[in-house]
Amino acid sequence: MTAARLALYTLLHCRGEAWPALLTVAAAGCALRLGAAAVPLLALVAAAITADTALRALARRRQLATLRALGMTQAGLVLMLELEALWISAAGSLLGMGAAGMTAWLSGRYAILWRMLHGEGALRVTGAAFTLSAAGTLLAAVLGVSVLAALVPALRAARHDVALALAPLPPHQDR
Amino acid sequence: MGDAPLLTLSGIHKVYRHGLSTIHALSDINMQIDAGEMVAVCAPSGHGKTTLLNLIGLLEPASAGSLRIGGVAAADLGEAARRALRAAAIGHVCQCFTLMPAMTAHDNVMLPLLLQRRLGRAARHEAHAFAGELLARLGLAAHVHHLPARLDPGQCQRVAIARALVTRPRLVLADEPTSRLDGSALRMVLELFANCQRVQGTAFVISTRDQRQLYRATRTLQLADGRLGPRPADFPRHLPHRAARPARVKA
Repeated sequence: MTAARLALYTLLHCRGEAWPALLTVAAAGCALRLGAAAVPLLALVAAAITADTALRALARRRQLATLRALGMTQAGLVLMLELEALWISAAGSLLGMGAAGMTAWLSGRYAILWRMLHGEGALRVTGAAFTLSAAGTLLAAVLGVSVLAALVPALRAARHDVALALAPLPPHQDR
Repeated sequence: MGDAPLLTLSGIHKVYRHGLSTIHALSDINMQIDAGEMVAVCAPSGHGKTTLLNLIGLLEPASAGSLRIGGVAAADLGEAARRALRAAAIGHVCQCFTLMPAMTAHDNVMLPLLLQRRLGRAARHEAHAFAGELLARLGLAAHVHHLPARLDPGQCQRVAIARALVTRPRLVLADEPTSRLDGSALRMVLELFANCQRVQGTAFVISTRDQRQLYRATRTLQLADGRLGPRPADFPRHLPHRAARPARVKA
């Protein structure tokens, strides 16, 4: 519960650090929704989540060490970082699917207008219908890839030396 | 536990090895601390103060020697038991006093309790009240719901001190806990420490170079090149107790 709360707090106050990963996942989700090849896009999602988790864990190493010093377990820390990755992926996927739905709707409207001006058959909009189960499958795939992608950096962050991370920095590096 | 001292260090050594070089951070440290004591460890920068506090705080293991907290030998404990002992008995104010930037001052103070155990409704209510009381006693009543970004370094340091005290630990380790505090804030912190000593029997191990804090210590030890000795010869034995002075009237 505390890990989930901390992860949510962190993301709500992350001042934009999570945006690159979130937008990458959104773009991949949008492309997947519109029927692009799944494997390279899921690989892109995995790369974005791995980099995001690793970089944000590095930037917050003192905070993570403080949590460990205050009693958080290594498993709790891994869970917190995994949940952060999950929420970024879920938000990105929903954003991407929403954008794709909007694109499909607009292209449908455009097709109707085109037909009115140029006659039937001048423009054909194709694409399979996007059902709720398809959306669920896409979301599950993205979330599953994200969990796996965040695991290695989260485990590495949980194993950092607490005393070393809490050591006082020289004045010019102390923030 | 009986009459066992709260903390016993016997023949503690700490050695760091970086490639071919070896650094003896602490050598043959022997000390004993009873409940209700305030021990000040003074040393120049880089002489092992933080290492000593990290060892006592179970954040890193000693290379040799024995460390006992409340009669329990730290070397015999596994990682989970060390974490449980640290959570139950030790409050630690690190020199960097890192706060969680996404949590308010009050939530930061509550954090050790949230991380350590599941609180019932009544216990949670009581813990909330105690966290608020600690912040109020440190002069932060008006900043309870502020995020750390809205606090100055001195206020952040006081939040970190409240966070170390909220679990009512038997032993508090404080690494330069008053380095960013001005006169009135320092007085509030020292009064809170004295109250914890008196009411809860909390023992304090404080690394400091602040003369005002040394006056309050029941014992002052000098750490030089990783070796612990008695107070420096040039440190006066009896000094006027600052608390005995009449408080200045606020304008």
